[in-house]
Amino acid sequence: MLHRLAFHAMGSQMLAVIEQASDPAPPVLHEVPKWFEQWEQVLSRFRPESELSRLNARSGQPVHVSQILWDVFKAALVTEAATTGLVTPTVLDAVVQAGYDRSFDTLPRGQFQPASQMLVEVNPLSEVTWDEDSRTIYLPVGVHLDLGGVAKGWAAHQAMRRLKAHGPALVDAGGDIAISGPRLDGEPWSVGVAEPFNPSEEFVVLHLGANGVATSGKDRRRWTQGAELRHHLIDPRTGQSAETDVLTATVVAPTVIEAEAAAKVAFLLGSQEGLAWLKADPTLAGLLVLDDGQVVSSQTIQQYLS
Amino acid sequence: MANKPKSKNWNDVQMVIAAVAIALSLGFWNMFSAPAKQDLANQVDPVTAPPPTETPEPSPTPQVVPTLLPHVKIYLGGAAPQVQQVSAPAKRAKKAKSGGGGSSGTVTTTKTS
Repeated sequence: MLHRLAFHAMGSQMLAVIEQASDPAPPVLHEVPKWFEQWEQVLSRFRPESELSRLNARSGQPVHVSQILWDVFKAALVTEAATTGLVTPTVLDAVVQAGYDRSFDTLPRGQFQPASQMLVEVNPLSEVTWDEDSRTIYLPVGVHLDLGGVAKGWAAHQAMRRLKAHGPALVDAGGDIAISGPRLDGEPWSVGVAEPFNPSEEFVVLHLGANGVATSGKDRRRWTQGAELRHHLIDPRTGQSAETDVLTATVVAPTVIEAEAAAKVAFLLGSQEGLAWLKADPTLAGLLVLDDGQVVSSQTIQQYLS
Repeated sequence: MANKPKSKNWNDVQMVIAAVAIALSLGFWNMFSAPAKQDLANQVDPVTAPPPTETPEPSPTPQVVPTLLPHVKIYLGGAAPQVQQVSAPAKRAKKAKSGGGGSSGTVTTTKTS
């Protein structure tokens, strides 16, 4: 029996699912929103009082951080290295420059104030120094972090790990999905992939076990800045919203953190180069919807389709 | 007694007259027939001349209108490795609502986060 709990957090719709042989739902399921609230209070760039906001405000001096912020920071370091710098939290200033300076929850879509057209250089995370023993992070002056993408995947992964002690579990953090393993009957979980041209429908169903799956794209969280269409996926090579032939990129990976990062890379690189990048790692499987409606994928996606 | 000039001389005169007449005839024929030919040519030229031509305008480049082709089997060209088209299910599944199962049996849906 599947026990579900839907709630809102981190600017997204969340879903926690746990499978048990009987009723009632385990009490731990109702703890999940509290976990997310705690994590958001640490990791949100939209909350002035969050620990991340306080860290960003103190660039130029060493700051001792909590275990949560430290863990996500380390996850961001691993992600940046694995993606050769394409997925980095140092894009914050470029994201703000592009006009994305507040949560989409707080405004109707497309009502961001146009920012200036000045380009913002994206500094690599390697410019940030830290000390493992004292759990201290030092942001150089002018460098600020946006842990958004990594934080959401990390949160979904953490929640799934906590739930799986009570049964097969799935946690969906706004489309970034962590799955503990097969269901009680040994069957995989069925997860749909939303069609970007018609989000109310799924165009493919994936059958997943101990995997993570995530989708990145420019079909949501976009706005106009002057005459330019902007979206939230910044290419650190240009400091601007990425120009790519990919509309959405969905990636299956061993963990949702890896899936979220890989989906972003496939989106940023475009269909040809993105698929080549995915192929280099056989644990990744990608499914790309292009601007013109074509659907292309890596060979490895086949194992999840049937 | 000397003979009178023979009629042979008259014959010579006749021959000369005939030759001159023929020459004049041919001369006049050519004189009057040339303008006629020229008139004919002037009359024919407008008919046989090629129609006036205009510098052809370069043919416009055909406009390529992007066509939305969802779920059509198209392989990317070039050197993209292992690119394949995913077979879309015969019947599209309705999206599962968060907190509840969809008619397709999916637990949830991945979408742009």
